[in-house]
Order: sequence, then C-alpha cells, then structure tokens
Amino acid sequence: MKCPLEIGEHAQLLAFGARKPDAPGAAELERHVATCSACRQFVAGQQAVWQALDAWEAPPVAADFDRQLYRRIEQDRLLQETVWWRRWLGPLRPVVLRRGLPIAAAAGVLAAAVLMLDRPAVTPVSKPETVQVENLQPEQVQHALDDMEMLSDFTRAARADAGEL
Amino acid sequence: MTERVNHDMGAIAAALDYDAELMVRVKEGDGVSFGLLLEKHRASVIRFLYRMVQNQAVAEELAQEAFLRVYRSRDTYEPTAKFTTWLFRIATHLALNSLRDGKNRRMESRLDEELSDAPARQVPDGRPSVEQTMVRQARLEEVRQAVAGLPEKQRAAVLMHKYEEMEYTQIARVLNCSESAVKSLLFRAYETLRARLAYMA
Repeated sequence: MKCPLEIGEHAQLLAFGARKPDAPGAAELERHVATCSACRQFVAGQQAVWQALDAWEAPPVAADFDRQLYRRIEQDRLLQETVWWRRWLGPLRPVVLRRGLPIAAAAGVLAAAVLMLDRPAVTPVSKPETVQVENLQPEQVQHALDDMEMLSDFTRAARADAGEL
Repeated sequence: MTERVNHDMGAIAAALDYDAELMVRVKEGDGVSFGLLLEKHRASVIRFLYRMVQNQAVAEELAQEAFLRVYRSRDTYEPTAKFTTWLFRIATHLALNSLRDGKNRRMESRLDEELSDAPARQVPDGRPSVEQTMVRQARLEEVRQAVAGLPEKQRAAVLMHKYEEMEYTQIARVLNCSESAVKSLLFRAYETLRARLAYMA
C-alpha cells in the first residue's frame, strides 16, 4: 500500500492511531506502519497527544447551573413580552404621555360643541311651517280666488263706467 | 448536487436522531423534553466550552447562553441536521465571540491560582507524592497552553474531534466549512500539538 503520509491521507493514520473499530484498512495499515518509520513516528506522536489530552479533565459543573438557566429563561420570556408591548406602543408613547390630556380635552370640547349645535334641529321648525302651509294653503287659495273674482267684477264695473262716460 | 446530497444526508441523520425528536417536542411546548436534552448534553457542552475558553465560570455562562438560545429558537426549530450539530454550532459561535471579545484576558491571571489550588488527584495505587503532583500539574499546564496556542478554529476542531468524537462531516457542519477544510484544520492542529506534546509519551 502507498504510504498515507506521502499521499496526504493523515485522516487514515489518525483513525488507526485512535484504534477506531471502523478505521478503513486497519490490518493493511498496521502492516505498513510496522515497516514505515515515518508513519510509526506519526502514530506514536499522535497517541502521546491523545494521552496528554485525556489527562486534561474539566472541573465539575456548578450545582445550581440548571436553576440559573431556568431563571434566565424566565427572565428572557418576560423581557420578550415587554419588548412586544414596547414595539407596538413605543411610537405612541410621546404622544400619549405629553399630549394625551390636551387631545382628550379638545376632543371632549369638540364633542360637546357638536352635541349642542345639533340640538336645535331644522326639522322641528320646518314641521310647523309645513303643517301650517299644509293647513293654511287651501284657505289661502280660496281667499285668493275670491279676491281675484272680486277684482274681476270690479274691473268689469270700472270699464263699464268708463265706457258710459 | 453535492450540497443537496449533504442536505439529504443531514435530514436522514436528523430523522434517526432521538435528540431531534425531543427538540420537536420542545417546539410543541413540552418542557420535560427540554430538561432531558439539558441533562444529556449539559456536561459535554460545558466541557467543550471550558477547553475552548479555559475558564470554568465563563464556560458555564456561555453554556447557559447556548441552552437559552436553543430554548428561544424552539418555535422555528427544524430537524434538518443532528441536534448536537446545531447545539455545538451555537456553543462554538459563542466561544469564538467570547475569545474575540477578550473576556478571558481578565481571567488569565487566575489560571495559576486555579492550578495551585487544585487538589491532588487520587490514584488507585496510593497517594501521589508532592513531586508527582507537581509534575502532573506542569504537564496539564503544558497541555492547556498548547491548546490555547492553537488558532480558534483549529482548537474547536480538535476539541470536537478528540473529546466529542465527532466525525469530519459533523465538525464541518458545526464550523460551516467543507470536510476537506476540517481535515486541513485537524492536520495542522495535531501537527502543532505533536511538536509540543509528543515528548510526554
């Protein structure tokens, strides 16, 4: 087999050095390493590195790690809710805080004015006139017709007198 | 085409991933499932972050932020990849940001204190001598400095490959790079570590 170091197949040697069960071509590689000093040195050095790294233990985890995490999760949840409210009401805050009352007062005055102006309605006034017109109109027409007849008689009488003269 | 194949493989892996199933339940409002995920992955995430930033307090703070982001993202979670890929991507992102922010510079001076205050490790065959303890502490310090000396992405790749036993494909998804890029990162990282730590054999 070709030397893994010569062809750049270091991964193959790493897997072999780690004695991984699925290392490809482990048996063939073992025979090669036995005859190749470069690969043998590589594997030995790599195993030393792994042994040294194995000795590097991490300290134990703090006993209240989970408690602190869940507290952060809860704080984050509350913060997200606050952010949501702020996002929606944020642009309105200056208006609401500084000008809310005057705007509300102005709106109240405006509403009151509209109500007051709207109270004397046109229709109640027009109704009596309408009723009066409806009620009086036939009499007025009768009177008007009577007057016209009288005028007509008077005119005929006046013309007759003028003609005689 | 390759991208689609990788995406399909990721989806298949996710489908077989019990953690992804738990996360889907979290999405549906099941808080117990979130607790199960936390219980299962808490230690590995904190250990990874500790080795990345080399400060336990910072590591736990970042781990809490990682799980908080997992919980916060539950409504939009889609099982398109393994859950651990997603989780470690968040953790790696936080670690890299923390390193760039230089938070650990303030805590570096505490490393020596932690080292000297650390209790001697008990071995099955008897109490270690003072000399053995000092030698062990010195070797640990050498290991920590060797890892701390790696560029951040190389460091993340080594920690995921060595301690989380992730395959190149998964590391590539976590780091959002190609598999060949991961192999290159690991090759250079291990080459540096061999040069510095091989004498310990």
